[in-house]
Amino acid sequence: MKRLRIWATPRRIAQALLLALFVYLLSLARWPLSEALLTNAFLSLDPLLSLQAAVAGRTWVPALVYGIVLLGTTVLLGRFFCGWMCPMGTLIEWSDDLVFGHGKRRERKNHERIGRGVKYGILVVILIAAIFGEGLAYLVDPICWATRLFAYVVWPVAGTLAASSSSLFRPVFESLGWMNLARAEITPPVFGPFGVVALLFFVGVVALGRWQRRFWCRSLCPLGALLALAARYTWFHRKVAAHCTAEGKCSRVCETGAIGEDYSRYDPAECIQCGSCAKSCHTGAVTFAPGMGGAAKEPRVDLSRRAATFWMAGGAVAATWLVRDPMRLTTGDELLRPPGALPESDFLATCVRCGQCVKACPTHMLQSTALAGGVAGFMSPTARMRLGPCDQNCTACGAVCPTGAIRVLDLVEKTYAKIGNAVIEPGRCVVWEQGRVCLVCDENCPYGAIDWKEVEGERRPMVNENKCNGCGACEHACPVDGRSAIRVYPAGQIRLAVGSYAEEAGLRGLILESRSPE
Amino acid sequence: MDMVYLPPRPGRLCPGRARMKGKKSMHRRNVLKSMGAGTVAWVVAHGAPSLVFAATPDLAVIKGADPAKNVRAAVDALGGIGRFVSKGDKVVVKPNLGFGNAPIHATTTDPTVVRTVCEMALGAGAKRVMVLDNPCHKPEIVLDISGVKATLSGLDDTFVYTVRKDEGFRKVEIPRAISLKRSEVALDLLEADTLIAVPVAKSHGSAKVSFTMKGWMGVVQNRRAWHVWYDLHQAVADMATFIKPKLIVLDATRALVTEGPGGPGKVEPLRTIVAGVDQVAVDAYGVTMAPWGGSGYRVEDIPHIVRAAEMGVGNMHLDRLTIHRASA
Repeated sequence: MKRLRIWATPRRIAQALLLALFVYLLSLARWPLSEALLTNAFLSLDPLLSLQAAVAGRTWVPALVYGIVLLGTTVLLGRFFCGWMCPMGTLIEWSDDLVFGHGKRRERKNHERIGRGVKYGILVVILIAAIFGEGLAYLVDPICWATRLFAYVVWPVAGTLAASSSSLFRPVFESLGWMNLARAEITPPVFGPFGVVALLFFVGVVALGRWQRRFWCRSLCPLGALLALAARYTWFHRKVAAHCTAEGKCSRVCETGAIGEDYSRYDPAECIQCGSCAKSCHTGAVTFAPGMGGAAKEPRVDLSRRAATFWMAGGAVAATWLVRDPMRLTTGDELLRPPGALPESDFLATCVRCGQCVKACPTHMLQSTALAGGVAGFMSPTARMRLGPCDQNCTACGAVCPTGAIRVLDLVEKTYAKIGNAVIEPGRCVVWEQGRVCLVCDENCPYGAIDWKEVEGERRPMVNENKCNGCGACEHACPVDGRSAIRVYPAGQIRLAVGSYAEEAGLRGLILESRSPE
Repeated sequence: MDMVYLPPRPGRLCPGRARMKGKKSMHRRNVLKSMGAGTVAWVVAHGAPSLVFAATPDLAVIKGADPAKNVRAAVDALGGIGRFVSKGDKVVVKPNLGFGNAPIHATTTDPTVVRTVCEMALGAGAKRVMVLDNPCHKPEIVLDISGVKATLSGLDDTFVYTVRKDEGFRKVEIPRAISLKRSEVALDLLEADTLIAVPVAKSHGSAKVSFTMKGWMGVVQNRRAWHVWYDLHQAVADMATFIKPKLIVLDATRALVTEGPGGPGKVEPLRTIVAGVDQVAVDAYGVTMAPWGGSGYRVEDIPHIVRAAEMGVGNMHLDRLTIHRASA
C-alpha cells in the first residue's frame, strides 16, 4: 500500500488560506448580507458552541449538524481541525514562531505534560453549566475569541485607517480624477472597549507559548478537549517504520508534544495531524496512514476521577451563581436587545457573544455590553440607539448569529419584532420646552409613531406606543445635545422563542406598519 | 421687513429682481415674459402646438406616465438644457436622498428623474456630474434602497455620493440671512459651475411642505442647528438667499401627500414634473399640486416660502407667472 505523507508546507498554505477565508467571511457579515456564503461558517462548525447553546437553551441549534460532522470527521482523521483549520490555532502558531522562534528552547521540555487535564476540566465546567441552563463556552471558545479579535480589533482599526486615509488622500484622488475614491466617505466603525479585552486575551495566550509551543491548544482549549475525545478513536494514525534511528527529532518538533519518550508511539488525542514529525524525520520512517498503528497503548485523558468531580462541582457552582446573579433580575427592564432576540434567559443561554451581530450591524447600534446585563450578560449585544437606529431594511444580526440566539427574520417579521417603546422627555424636548419648530423624531420615524396633539393650544409630539417598533430612529436623530429627549425603553418589547411576531403583535393590538421593500 | 435695504443679489440669475418687489417695469425679462405669455395664449387658441416659442415660460408643468419624458419636455419648455449647462461645466445635481426607503414610498427623488437630469447635463457637454445629498439615514442604505445608485450606474462621469464629513464642507457667510448668518455648505456645491436641484415634492411635519428650498437642509453639515438654535422657517429662507440653482426639476411623479417627510403616508401618483429657475416660484406652484398634509395649504400658509419671497429670493405670486402646462 502506498503510504501517504503529509508535509508541513501544504499545511501552512492551507492554514493561510483558511485564515484568509475566515477573515473574508467575517468581513461579509454586514449590510447588505450576501446570501450565497455562510458568514458564520467557522462558528457553525464549532461543535462546542452549538452543543452548549442547544443544551443550555433547551433548543435545537441547526449548526449542531455541522458540529457533529466535524466530530465524526475527527474520529476518522484525528484533530486535523486544530492543526489545519482553526483560525486561533493558526494565529497562535504563527505568533509563537514570531515571538519565541521556531524550534528554540522553551521553559519546559516539549513532551512534558503540563496541565493537560485542565482543558477537559474546562469542558466539564461548560457542559455542567449548560445542563444548569447557563452558557459559559463564550469565555474560552477559540473560534469566538478569533471572531472577536477580528470584529473588535482588526476591523475597527482597518476601518479607522481607511477613513483617515480617505480624507488624507482626498486631494490626490481629486487631482487624478478618481472621484469615486475622492468622495468615498468611509465612516470609521464605532466600537466599545472589547477590542482591548480580545487583544489582551490573545496576548495572554501567545505569552503561554514561553512554556511550550501551542500551550493553549495543548492544555486549555475546551474545543480541543472535545475534539480530543473524538480523536482518541481515530482511524488515521502516525506510523513509525522499523528503520527509525531513535534520535527523537520528531518528539522535539511536535506542535503539541504528543510524542513522548518512546518515539515509535504517540498520543492520538493530542496529535493535531500537523505532520511536523514526518517532515523532520530524515530517515523517512514516520508516516501517517489509515489503519491501526503506533498509538500509545492508552491515549491519555489526563483527568482523574477526583479532578473530574472537582470540575463538575465547579461548573455547578458557577452556574448556580450566574442564575442567582442579582443584577440579572433587573436586565429585562434595562437592556435593549436586537430584534428577534430570544426571551432574555434563553437569549443569555444561547448567545455565545461571538460579536458577529455587532460586526454586521450597519448602524453600529449593536454594541457589546460589559456588566449592564449582569455577570450573566457579560459581552452580550445590546442596542444603543444614540449611536444608530435599527434600520428598517436590515435583518443582518439574526442572519449571522451562529446559535439562533437572535432569530432569523424576514423584513416583514422584523417590523413586528418590537424592541421596545420610545418615550419623550418633555423637559429636554425643544418643542415641549421651548416651542421650537422641530420634528426630527417624527421625520425619522419609519413607522409613523409620532403623533402631534394639541396641548394647551400648542402642537406637541407624542409617541403612539401601538405604532412604535422601538427602532430608535428618533433617539438617534434627536438634535438635542447629549442624552436624547426621546429614548427607547424595553417596555412593550416582543421576545418570542417560537412563532410569528406579526401574529403576536396582532394579538397585542399593535398597528405596526410594514413598508414593503418593493 | 419692507424697510430693510436689500443689496442687489450676487450671481448670474435674475439681477435686480430683489429691488423690483413685484412692480412691473420695462425690464427685459418682464417684457419677454409677457411676450411669452401672449404667444402661449395664441398658440393654445390656434391649436398649433408645434410652434416654436418666442419666449420661455417661468414654469413648465408636464404631466405624463413616463417620468423621463416629463423631465425632458419640462426642461425643453424652459429653453432646453443648453440654457443651463455649458460645455465643460462641473454640474452638481441635488436630489432628495434623505431616507432609506424604496422609491414607491416617495420620500426620495425618483431615480429615473435623477438619471434623466444627469443624462441631459452630460448631453449638454458637462465635464462631470456630481449627485450629492446629506442623508438622514445611514448613507450606504439610503444610496442602495432609494434606487438612485443602481439607476445611475453606467453613466460616465457621474458620481453619486453622500456628504457628511468635515472635509466635504466649508463654512460660509450668508450675507442676506436674518438668523442663519453662517453655515457649512457642501464644498462641491460651492465650487460647481451649475447647480440643478431635483427635489421630491412631499408634505412635511414642521415645514408643512418640502420642495426645493427645504431641500437645502441636505447641503449643510449641521442641520440639527436649524431645529434647535434657529427658527426653522427663517433658516430655510436664509439658506435660499444663498444657494442659487440654475435649474429646478421638482419631482412629483408620485408624492407623499401626508406623513412627510419620512412617511409612511398617503402616496399619490401625480405623474407631474415642474421645472423652473426660480425656487420660490417652483415651490409656490408645488403647494397647489396636492392637498399636502391632508387638507392642503395656500401659498401664504407656508412660512418659509413667504419669507423667502419677502427677502427677494423669488416670486411666490402664481398669477404673475407664465406657466406652460402640457402632457408628455
